[in-house]
Amino acid sequence: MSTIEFEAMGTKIEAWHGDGRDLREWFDEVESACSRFRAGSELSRINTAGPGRHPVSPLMCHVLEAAERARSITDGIVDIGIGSAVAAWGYDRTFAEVGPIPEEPAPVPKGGWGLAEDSIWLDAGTRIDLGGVAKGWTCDRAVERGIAGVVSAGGDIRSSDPATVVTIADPGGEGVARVALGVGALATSSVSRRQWKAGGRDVSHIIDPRSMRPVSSPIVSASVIARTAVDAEAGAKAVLIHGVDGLAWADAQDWIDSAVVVWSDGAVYATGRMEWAA
Amino acid sequence: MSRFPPARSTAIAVWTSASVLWATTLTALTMEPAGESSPEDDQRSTATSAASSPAMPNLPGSGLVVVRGPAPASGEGTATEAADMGPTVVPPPTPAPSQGPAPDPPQPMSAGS
Repeated sequence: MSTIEFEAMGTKIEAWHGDGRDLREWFDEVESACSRFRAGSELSRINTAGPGRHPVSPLMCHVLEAAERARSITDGIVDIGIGSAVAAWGYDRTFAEVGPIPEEPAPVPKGGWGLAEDSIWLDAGTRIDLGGVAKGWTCDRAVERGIAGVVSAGGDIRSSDPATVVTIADPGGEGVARVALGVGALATSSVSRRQWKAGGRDVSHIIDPRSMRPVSSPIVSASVIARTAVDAEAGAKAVLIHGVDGLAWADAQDWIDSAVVVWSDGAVYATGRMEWAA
Repeated sequence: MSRFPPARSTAIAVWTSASVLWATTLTALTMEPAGESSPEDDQRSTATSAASSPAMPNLPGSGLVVVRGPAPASGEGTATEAADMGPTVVPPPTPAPSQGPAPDPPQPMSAGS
């Protein structure tokens, strides 16, 4: 059985049981609409249009619906309206081009956005970063449409194969857990994947929408198992942002199956419902 | 109703009270020297405090599984993008039901989401 591999959305895409050409075209189609780094993308047009109401394509509408769900099920902890803060803290270009910034930026006000029929409205100063939501949604749709049986996009995995087993690695690359994923999704959110310096200290690309600052958490990486990759991605990010309360919060969500975290001291903890692979 | 006659009950109560008073006094005497801590004791306290930091996760309702204990500190990477080091998928052992054409060769992407 061959593995389909290519690069898209700034990360490595892997898939099994599928059509490589169709899968690549699918990822390209979504990325061309949802990338905030492509000047001609639909998202860039929305972000540069400023406050007000802007019509969106059917594809963008679906991604925004997924983002609305992510915001709703996490009580606002996962919010795509943090684009201005991400850019202010230096991640305003592809990560390969991101460098240290000498000082922390001025506080960025929390923006507002919403979906109204086939349009998105933005408050003044709000910019959208679809980030992990778009990645998860692309994996979900690829599997739901039968383009591939198992798709992994840089840590966001959606599987329709009951035999799928996932090894979770710590930031050092060491496997720390093998979980029986089966049919479902698993996503990982990590502060150590993309770091740079701002004002002399390490910051990550994960923004806490409550403070509009890079997250400060004892969790280095969080992985969540849920029904869809959108839910798993939202759950993983929320667990990481919740920090010491993250696993307890995850355990109380009926849409999260289980969660595992790598702590800042290297310890690894999981909720009691995690199904381990032999 | 008491199993003992009143006089016997009073005697037991007095004896119990005396025992408690004696035990309390003995405990106080035993603990008194500990009030004057030595430098070694201070070091022991500090070590205990350091070992309890950082905090563990708050307990989930389904219980907390300690998959791995704290690891010795190691050199942390700085300001670089590590390779994707989240989960890695072990491909299912079953043969692919519908294997399509080979994917296009990887191309460097300048965009990310």
